Amino acid sequence: MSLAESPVWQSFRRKPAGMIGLTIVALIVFAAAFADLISPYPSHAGPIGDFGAISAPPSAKYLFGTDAIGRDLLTRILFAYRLSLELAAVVLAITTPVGVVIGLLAGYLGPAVSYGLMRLTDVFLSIPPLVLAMSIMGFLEPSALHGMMAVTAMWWPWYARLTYNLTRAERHEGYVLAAETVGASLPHILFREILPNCMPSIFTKMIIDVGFVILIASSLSFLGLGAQAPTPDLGSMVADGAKYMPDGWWLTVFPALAILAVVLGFNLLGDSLREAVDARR
Amino acid sequence: MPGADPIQDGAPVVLRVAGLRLAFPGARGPVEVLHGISFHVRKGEKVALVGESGSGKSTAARVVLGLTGEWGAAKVSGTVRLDGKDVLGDDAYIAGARGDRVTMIFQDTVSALNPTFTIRAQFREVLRRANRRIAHAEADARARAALADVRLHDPDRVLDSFVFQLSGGMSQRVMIALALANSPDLLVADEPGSSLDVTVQARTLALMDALIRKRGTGVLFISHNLGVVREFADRIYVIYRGRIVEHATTAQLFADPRHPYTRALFSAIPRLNGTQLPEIPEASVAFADPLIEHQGCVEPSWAP
Amino acid sequence: MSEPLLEVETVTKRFAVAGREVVALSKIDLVVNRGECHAVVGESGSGKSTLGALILGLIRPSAGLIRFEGAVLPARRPLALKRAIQLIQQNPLTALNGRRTVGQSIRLALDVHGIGERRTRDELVAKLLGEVGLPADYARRSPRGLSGGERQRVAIARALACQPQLLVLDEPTSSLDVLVQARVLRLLAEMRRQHGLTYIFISHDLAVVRSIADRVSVFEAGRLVESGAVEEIFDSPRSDYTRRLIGAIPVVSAEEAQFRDRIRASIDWHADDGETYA
Repeated sequence: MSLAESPVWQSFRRKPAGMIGLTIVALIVFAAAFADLISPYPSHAGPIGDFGAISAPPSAKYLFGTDAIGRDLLTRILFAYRLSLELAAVVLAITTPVGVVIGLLAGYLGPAVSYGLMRLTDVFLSIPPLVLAMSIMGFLEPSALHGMMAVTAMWWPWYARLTYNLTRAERHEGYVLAAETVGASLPHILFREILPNCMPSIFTKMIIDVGFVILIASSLSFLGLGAQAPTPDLGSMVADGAKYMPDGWWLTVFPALAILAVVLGFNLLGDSLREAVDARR
Repeated sequence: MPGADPIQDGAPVVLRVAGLRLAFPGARGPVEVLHGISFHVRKGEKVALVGESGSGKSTAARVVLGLTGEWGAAKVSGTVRLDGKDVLGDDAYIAGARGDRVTMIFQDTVSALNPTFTIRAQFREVLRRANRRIAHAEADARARAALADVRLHDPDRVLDSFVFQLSGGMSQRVMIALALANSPDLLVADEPGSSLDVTVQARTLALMDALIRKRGTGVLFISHNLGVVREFADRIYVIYRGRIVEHATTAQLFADPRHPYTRALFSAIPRLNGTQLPEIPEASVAFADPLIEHQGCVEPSWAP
Repeated sequence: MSEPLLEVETVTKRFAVAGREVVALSKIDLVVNRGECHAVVGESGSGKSTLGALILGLIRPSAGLIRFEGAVLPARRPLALKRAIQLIQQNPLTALNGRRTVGQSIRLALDVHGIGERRTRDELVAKLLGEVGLPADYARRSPRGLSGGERQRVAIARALACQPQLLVLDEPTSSLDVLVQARVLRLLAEMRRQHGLTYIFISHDLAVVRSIADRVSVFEAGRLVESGAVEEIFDSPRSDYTRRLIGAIPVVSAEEAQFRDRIRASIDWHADDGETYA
């Protein structure tokens, strides 16, 4: 049965919110992937702009206007999308496996193992995410890389907790008992029996998280703790533009809308996917 | 086996179902689950609808009880007459009759009894369905009498309990008492006691039998267990994949099962005398043979 | 003359449930001989499922020990021992992983125990499917499309793949319809004959037990009430509890009713003392 025939897709197709989310995400991903090809002024992604058009409002030449150094805002937003998506991909590529493995072990092996792990998870989860990220940044010099490291360090507990709950629910199912009596090894039971049954929930969480990772990373750079100039970054652009409100409104509004769009898109997509997956159960 | 009472010819027909069809919307068009079944129950009669899972027996019971609301887009057609009144589609009437003229017992007591109310409160609610202004004292007295009927000692303690405080057998008896409290015309029992241990089930069914005889209630008994049906029912309909395939009195069916499907069922039942189980044919075409009605077992004509 | 395969020696099992101690099994002595079908019979709370779990090594006895082929079963069982004792569960709908194909579930047994050459294991899977009466192409299917009876057959194929000596069957046909049950019971009898297996058949259904068991052990509330050849247990039960169990069976023929009524007459059957609080 191909993806197109799968009941999850059939269910998902009928959700308008999900299709809108999918469209937004597809557009953003496409734009980010081909930023250097489709942006009007690719060189404006760097430190040099058009000094003849400093802080220019939106026009036919510069669709979203220019910033204080004369750089085209639309171009910078497209490049910022690319960097944000790359950051989100790296964060999730690291945190998901770490969190999932911890959750599987804790959920399967029982109280002796899980007690310590889950209390550690609880500590992380009890601190508001942005505060946690800022505290970690307190030990590091502000940079895009360090911002990514901070978000990575604090993101894994959600996956650990989610996977722990899912594993505990599956732990006593008949097929797990069957694998145990047949004599399957622990890695087999965790990764080939239990994990596939957890994957739909983990995967939909990852989709929704892309938006939230970008939101946290942007918040860090809004505070000056993330990407530094001249790297194009949505959060920094909002911060820089805030000084010029309300006259230079485009400097803040467009980057902010860009953040809104990416979070909304992934949220709608992920939520509808989650509904479609849950309905299938 | 109830051989003492003959078929109650002339007893009024309490439930009359004719040509009942039910289809659910499916991924590729409507799926028909009931293909035009007909059956009837007279006052004081115990009629069994026997089939395996997927036969449609529980579905038919729910249609009779008007519990099709949760199925949304299900398409139903045919006739269902309760006490002479056409009720198919008349949800308001059935909702009013439920709990009073028509009651039900399910397989699973825990989900049938409300866990957040005491048994006393549930009796009051049931008795109020027949008499909206019944006084608390009278309701409690009738509840105690009903519990005594099902041989539950210490009725006051039971009345003050919640369902999770009762054992499986006890809550089954409470469910029977509640169902018969208003002396309904029709009781629909869907696999009662099948989740209980066999000794407990035997006792509760015997008890239900005695109570029903006492009140003269007509019973539609849904089951997959021919042995239970033999002890309990007067007349039997065998249902296979949404069609009635055989209709006989209990005596007739057990002495002379005729339809290929019925015969396959009988041959598949393990016996107490230790004979080996024979080879069971795969679902053969013969299972779809038309309805076989034994002597005297016909659907009544229209005027009830 | 067959020798004992499994010996349960004065086994007791206690559980802590909500602060109280519950004795699930009390001083059980039981012998299962090689090649026999030994039924373990009782109602809920009898301890029969606990006995199954102990034999499979899922839990440990609180007192007493269990011998397999003469040697005491250790706490941690080596793979060879796990292979020798397999399980058929009651609920076929959950016993197979919905996210793995039928073939993968069966092949797991072969891979874990290194049975056959890796290259030819898929052929072994096809052969096993054939033995349980399923077409070879079922190997590629997900269990989700299969009926309860078909899934139970897959579970049997998976257990057989281990080439076990002892099979614990925990109410293997209780969730199945009558016709399907009959077919699966015949398959189980056939497999036992063909592969020289020993069965421990846990059930509450005495009619099923009568038609397939060689020996029967009756349990009530954690105690072994009576044990013996199936004909003895049914024709001349020694304990009142066994008589009550037999007396409660719904039967479908006059002949069986007669047999059962005779048993009922020997105890005070019609005494319905109602239900009381404990």
